[in-house]
Amino acid sequence: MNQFPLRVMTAGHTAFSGEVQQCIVCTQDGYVGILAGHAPYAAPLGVGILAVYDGSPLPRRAAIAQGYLEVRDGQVTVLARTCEWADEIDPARAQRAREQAQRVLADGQAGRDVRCAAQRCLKKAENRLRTAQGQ
Amino acid sequence: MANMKEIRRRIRSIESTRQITRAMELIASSRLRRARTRAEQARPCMDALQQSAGRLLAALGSANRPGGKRLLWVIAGDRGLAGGYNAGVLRLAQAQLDDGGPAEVVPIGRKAQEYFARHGVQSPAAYPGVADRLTVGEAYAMAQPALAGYRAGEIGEISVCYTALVSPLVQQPRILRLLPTPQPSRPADVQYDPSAEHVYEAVLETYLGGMLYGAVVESYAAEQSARRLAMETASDNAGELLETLRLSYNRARQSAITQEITEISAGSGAVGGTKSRGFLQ
Repeated sequence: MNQFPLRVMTAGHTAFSGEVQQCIVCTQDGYVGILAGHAPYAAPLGVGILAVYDGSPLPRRAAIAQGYLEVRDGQVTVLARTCEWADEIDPARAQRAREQAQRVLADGQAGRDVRCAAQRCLKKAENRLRTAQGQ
Repeated sequence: MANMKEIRRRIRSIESTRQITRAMELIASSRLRRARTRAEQARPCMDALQQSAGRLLAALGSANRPGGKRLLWVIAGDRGLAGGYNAGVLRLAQAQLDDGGPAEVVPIGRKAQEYFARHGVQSPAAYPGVADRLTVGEAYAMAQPALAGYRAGEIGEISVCYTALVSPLVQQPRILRLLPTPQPSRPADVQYDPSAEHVYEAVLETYLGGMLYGAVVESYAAEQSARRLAMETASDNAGELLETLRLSYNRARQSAITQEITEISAGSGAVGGTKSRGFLQ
């Protein structure tokens, strides 16, 4: 299978850089699979999972949220706001974040902005838990 | 004797100053290690953002917006005693403010905040004491008001004034214009999913927050590097000064002893002289 260079970055660190056979990214409109020789492409990222097929039998999976994806000159760049590999995720912390967000949402007292933020947190926490559990 | 006492006092005071500067040097160098790793990790992302996001934003039309205010993020330290670090970056920021239309400043770091407050520069927000533990999420939150202003058209230009760590010995204050990005020579033929506007929004947000984070961690590393260097020089100078002072102290002590001996021997000579004369008689 043909390979192509992939970079996965956040503002703070480079999560991945190397040749891969395929990567599947969660964009705002759903999952997009990229293979070598993809046409120039750009899309905003959603909250979801990034799977990197770098030749090992199982793909490497990361929980990503926000940012964008760019394919240009055969080089794929994923610039996410947050990116955590499945083995780096602390499930207990994600669980706590989820519970806290659920409490805020169940409360009903909070303003619209707070509820929106809590909803985003809930989505991210659930995504992290999903990634960590390998679903 | 007064001279000796004076010298001893100065030696003691310089010794305690040297102790402080040496401690600060050690603290700065241990902080520098952590700060440099952070800056080195952030640098490739800053470059990638500058290239890829810059290109996308330019292609998607972040055209110059005349009439909007300029916004300048100025990143300086929270403390002094870092050589020319704070002065350098603030001088550059002031020069940038002086030429051209109305501008708003968002100071990051206590020294920047104090400086602009003293000079009566209007600033919508200030972030003192954030540089050493800034997270990516916090940087995005800090960029949010600027982003909203840019979207609304109130802000026409966003720049960041920071200090780059060129090498462990060289820090260079720089101004980087983040928005609008320079126009590319040819618009790239790219497929935008779901639409160019959606991509533009996502890229804009990622770009601004990410660049701000990169600039802050780079500046923090430069600050620690500048402080370590300044404190090392100060400790060295104190050492040299102590050496000279010890030399003159010993000299003063010796001459005092010599004088005492001369006085004693002269005295005993005078006494002995009378005695011997008496004995002979």
